[in-house]
Amino acid sequence: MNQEHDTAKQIIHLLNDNLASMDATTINKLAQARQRAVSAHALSTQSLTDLQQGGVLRLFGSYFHHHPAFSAGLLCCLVLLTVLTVQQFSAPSNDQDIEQSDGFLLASDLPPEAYVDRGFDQWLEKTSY
Amino acid sequence: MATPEELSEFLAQVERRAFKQTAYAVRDDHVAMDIVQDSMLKLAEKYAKQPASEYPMLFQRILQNTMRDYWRRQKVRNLWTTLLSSFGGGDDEGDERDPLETLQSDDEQHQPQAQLESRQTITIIEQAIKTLPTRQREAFMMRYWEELDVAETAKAMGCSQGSVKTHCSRAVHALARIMESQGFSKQELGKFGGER
Repeated sequence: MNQEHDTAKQIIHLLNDNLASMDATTINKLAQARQRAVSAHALSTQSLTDLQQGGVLRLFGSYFHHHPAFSAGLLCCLVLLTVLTVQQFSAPSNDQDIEQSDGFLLASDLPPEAYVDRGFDQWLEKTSY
Repeated sequence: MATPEELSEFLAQVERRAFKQTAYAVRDDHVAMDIVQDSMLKLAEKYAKQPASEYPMLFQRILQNTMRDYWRRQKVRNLWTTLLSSFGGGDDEGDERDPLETLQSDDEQHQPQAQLESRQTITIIEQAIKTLPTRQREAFMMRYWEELDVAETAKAMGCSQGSVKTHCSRAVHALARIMESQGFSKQELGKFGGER
């Protein structure tokens, strides 16, 4: 195990020595790539910070700013939808509900309880002509 | 969250090794440069909020995945090329084929007689590393060159710690075998590699 480790270390030592003699073009390209990555990191960090500091609203703000016509249309639709919804749920519909339930009862068969109820038969005889 | 300075410092430390490591794997310096650049950008863009201490493992994982993406594309391209050019000559023996055996038979004919200089030694080592099976090379590079511990290497490679140890051991033995077949004794390797 130790011998294995030593052999590996010797090979790695040679490889590390070789890094110093890498050609300048490659080194420059790597440095440029690093700079690009660091710039991308800075941008990424900035957008993360924006999101953490109420950036979502800011994002919406910028969207509305860039699409004014669509935003106005969307706003009108929202207002209309709200009005319709409020009207639907807040209108007094008590009478209408009673009419609907009476209509349902009259149109449907008598419930089974009505046939076993003796009081009902008596009431029917008295009231019928 | 790591600062841009920490990222820059980390990349400056690993960029040359990453390039060499990729070049050993893909055997093309231009492609290696592209892969390293992509990996740097991915690390910066997608893992900006990660602490700098996680960068070595993350970067290795990104690098390996980007290499795999390249190989996949190459495989598809080669498949189409093969299909279009001819229907014979398929030599697909899978990734796990050990190319060291063929190398050894060739090496016997080119046994170096004179004492090798450091530059030649490096060339031989680089060639030997290129011939290692992919997983062995990855494990060796991460474990010994990037100095990740076994757990980090396993995480980056997406395998068990036992597999990492096995891959590393096989890689070292394979490299030692190649070096010996090239006329290097362990003492000579130690002379070039620096005794510790």
